[in-house]
Amino acid sequence: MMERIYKILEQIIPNTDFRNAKDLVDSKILTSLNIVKLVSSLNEEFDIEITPMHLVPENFNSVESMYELVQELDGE
Amino acid sequence: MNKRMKRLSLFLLCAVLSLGVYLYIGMVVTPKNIKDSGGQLYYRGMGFLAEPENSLDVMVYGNSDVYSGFSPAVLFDKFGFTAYGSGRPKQNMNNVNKLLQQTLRKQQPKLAVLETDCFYSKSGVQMDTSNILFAPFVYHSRWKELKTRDFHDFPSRTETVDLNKGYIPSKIVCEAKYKKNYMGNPNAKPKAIPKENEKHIRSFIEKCKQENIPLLLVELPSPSSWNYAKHNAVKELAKQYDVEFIDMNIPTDEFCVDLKKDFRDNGNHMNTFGAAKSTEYIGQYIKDKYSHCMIDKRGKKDYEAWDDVVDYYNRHTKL
Amino acid sequence: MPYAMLALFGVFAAVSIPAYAITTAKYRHVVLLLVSLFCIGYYSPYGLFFLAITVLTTYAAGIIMDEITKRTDLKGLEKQLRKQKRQEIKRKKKWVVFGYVVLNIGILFVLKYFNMFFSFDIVPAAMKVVLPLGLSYYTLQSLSYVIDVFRGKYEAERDLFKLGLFISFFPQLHEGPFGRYDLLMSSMCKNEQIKKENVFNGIGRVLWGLFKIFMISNRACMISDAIFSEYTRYSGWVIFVGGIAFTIQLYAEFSGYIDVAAGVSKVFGIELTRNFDLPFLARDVAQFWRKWHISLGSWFRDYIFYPVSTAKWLRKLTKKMNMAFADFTTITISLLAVWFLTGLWHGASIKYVCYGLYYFILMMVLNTCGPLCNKLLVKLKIDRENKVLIVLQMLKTQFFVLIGMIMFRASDFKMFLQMLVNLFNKGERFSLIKVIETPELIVLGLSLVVLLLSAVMKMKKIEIEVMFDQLETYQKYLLCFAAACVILIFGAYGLEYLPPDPIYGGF
Repeated sequence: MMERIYKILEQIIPNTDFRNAKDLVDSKILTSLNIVKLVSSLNEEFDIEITPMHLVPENFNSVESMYELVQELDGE
Repeated sequence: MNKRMKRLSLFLLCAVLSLGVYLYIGMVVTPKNIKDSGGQLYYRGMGFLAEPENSLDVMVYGNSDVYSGFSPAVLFDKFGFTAYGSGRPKQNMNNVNKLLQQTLRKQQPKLAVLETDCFYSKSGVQMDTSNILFAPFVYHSRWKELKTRDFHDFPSRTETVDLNKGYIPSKIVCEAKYKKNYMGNPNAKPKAIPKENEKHIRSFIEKCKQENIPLLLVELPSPSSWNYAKHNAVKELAKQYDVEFIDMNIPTDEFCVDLKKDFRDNGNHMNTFGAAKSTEYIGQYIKDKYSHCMIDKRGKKDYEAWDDVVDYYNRHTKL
Repeated sequence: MPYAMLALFGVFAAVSIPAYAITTAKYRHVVLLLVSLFCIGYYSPYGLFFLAITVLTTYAAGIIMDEITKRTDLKGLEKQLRKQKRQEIKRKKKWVVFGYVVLNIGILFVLKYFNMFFSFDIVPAAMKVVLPLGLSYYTLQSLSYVIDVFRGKYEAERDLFKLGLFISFFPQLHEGPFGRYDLLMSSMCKNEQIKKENVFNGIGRVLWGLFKIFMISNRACMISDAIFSEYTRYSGWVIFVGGIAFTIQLYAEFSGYIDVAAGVSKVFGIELTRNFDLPFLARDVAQFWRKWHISLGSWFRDYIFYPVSTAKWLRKLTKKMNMAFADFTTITISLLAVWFLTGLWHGASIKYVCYGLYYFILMMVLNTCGPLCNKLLVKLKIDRENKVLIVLQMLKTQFFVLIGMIMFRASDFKMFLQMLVNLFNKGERFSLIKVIETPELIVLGLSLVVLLLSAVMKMKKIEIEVMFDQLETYQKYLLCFAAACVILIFGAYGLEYLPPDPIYGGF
């Protein structure tokens, strides 16, 4: 599952070291536009529904937290 | 216990202090002179309080129609009767009754005239502009024009003489865009006078009877607010209580309003021309009907002050 | 009557405070609900009818969706089946939301826009009635509740009275702010007894609001009205002065009314959401809308921008495009939806729609040029936090805001265009003293200094409110009394002052 998230991120923010990053949102690597794209990609890829209430920096700061979010939303 | 006393005294101190400051503000901002802004509002309807005792023949009560459409200076000039026009904007009958009572403390008018337009105004609580508790709200805009005297003089209605005797002149001419027969159908069904107002009207009429003051109901020309439905209702009421009623909206040989010239705001309030005309008509009516109790006071020594009134009118108002 | 709403709030607050205080904690919210209903009914009796529809449908929609979710047990099911069930639930819930939106937005649309769309004689006179009090505010507020329940942010409210209070709470009805259920309800349900601290804090905030309305807004209005009513005569910088005056007027009035509402609520221990956060210090227009009328901006962000930008159809649409163009399309469509509706919310006229689209264009430009500018800054080795740069950015932002304000104030779009053209013409001489008396101007200036000081304190993180709360009771009282006296005497209301109509009151 991690790999699929990596693939999505590769498309959205190419050439960044997101694998080890812990502050993607706080350091403005992920802008609001990027997050919107990321969310719609994740929604489609894992067939889940991320809603605005999940849109807090903690959920998107690192790949791990994104993974947890997807898990929590029962994605596959 | 001690602490409680301390808190109580602190509370009282605050209360007294703020009440004092508030009343002082009220005193400071209340107009001291009829020429101050808001002065008209404060002294206008109540100006009769400053007139010498028992010096007024005619008291006219009503709303804005009265201070726009009835000029005591003209009445004195032409007939020698002293009058005061106690009109206030949107006056209601409850207030008129209060004014009558205040009048009777110092004056014994020979005739009371009641303008009937206010029969239909909304009754209810109006902000009493004479109450010191409301003064800061009503007159606060005078902060710009405060002078030293405002900080130590008490406003006094009994000393502030109104040379216009309640009249507010306006030379503005604005054509009233109404048809000649704006009163409508003469046989219109009477429009009921609100119950609350009727009660106050009745008590006004009774008070006049009790004091032996003849009462005359008058409707000054006002195409924007008057019609036959109202006319017929007032006529019925006049008949019921046996009082005179003249409606100046109905053209007669002696008086016919000029829609082009006599109004200042599209047929609601009269201007100087209209007021002079209608005052003359009312004066003539009084002279004809009430000659037994009215005396021409022109040239009398006690009434020299009224020459100033006429003079002031001629200088400032007449064209 | 322009101040009728203020007077009405005062009267209703005065009546409800003792009633609230003597009621047992369990039923306090019912007291507030009754007062709110009475307030709406007093303003326009039939407003109660529409409110009842909204409250009942909101209540029903919430519970139905809750039940749909609860009735299906997902535990122990296979993943595939679980997913299928979940889709089913979602579809059902979607129908509920759909019906709810059609009904409630329908009411809003018909009542609010009918008069405007058909401003001819076709509309029977009976339809041209006063809008129910707070209609467009409480509709959006309850819509946010229903959507949040749909999204599963929280469970539906089972207490009809509590939900009713959330929708109809009277201080919010005039000019907002519209709150979110989870934030507002937590303080509404405390049913706190009235406390001395809260009373003084509330009164203080109300006075601060009145100060902004009567001392600043009504005076700035004298200048802006003089210029906008004779806009053909003036040009160039005079139009800017008019725009600035109107901006001050609007901000002071709007935030003033919000402060009054917040102060009244505070007495009951209820915190309303913040609606302004130093908007004139924004560095770009996007930031401006995060600081100005926050409750509206965040509503459109959460319930329009987000669903549109992450919608499946939009994703399908952009899938085959190259990446830059796909981004562009996504952002364009979402922003267009947001700003078109924002414009429409303010009123159904070309002017307001253009006002919305104006910001749409600005946002688009910002989104395209923003990254370029950042690259340029990096190249020129200019620090993004450079003070001069920040000031320049603020000025630039305020310039665009100002143009927007002129459009907002102009009576129609044609007038706005005319004014834009006039900017570059030579017009008549304008003298400030002629439209506003010198003493009035001085008071306006001093009041603005006070407002500015409060902004500076906020920037320096000096908490005026905390400082005020720490004072002794008698000190608070004297302070409030002194402030009330100043507003009483110097406020621009009553004799000789023409009362301007509340600008956001009609929305």
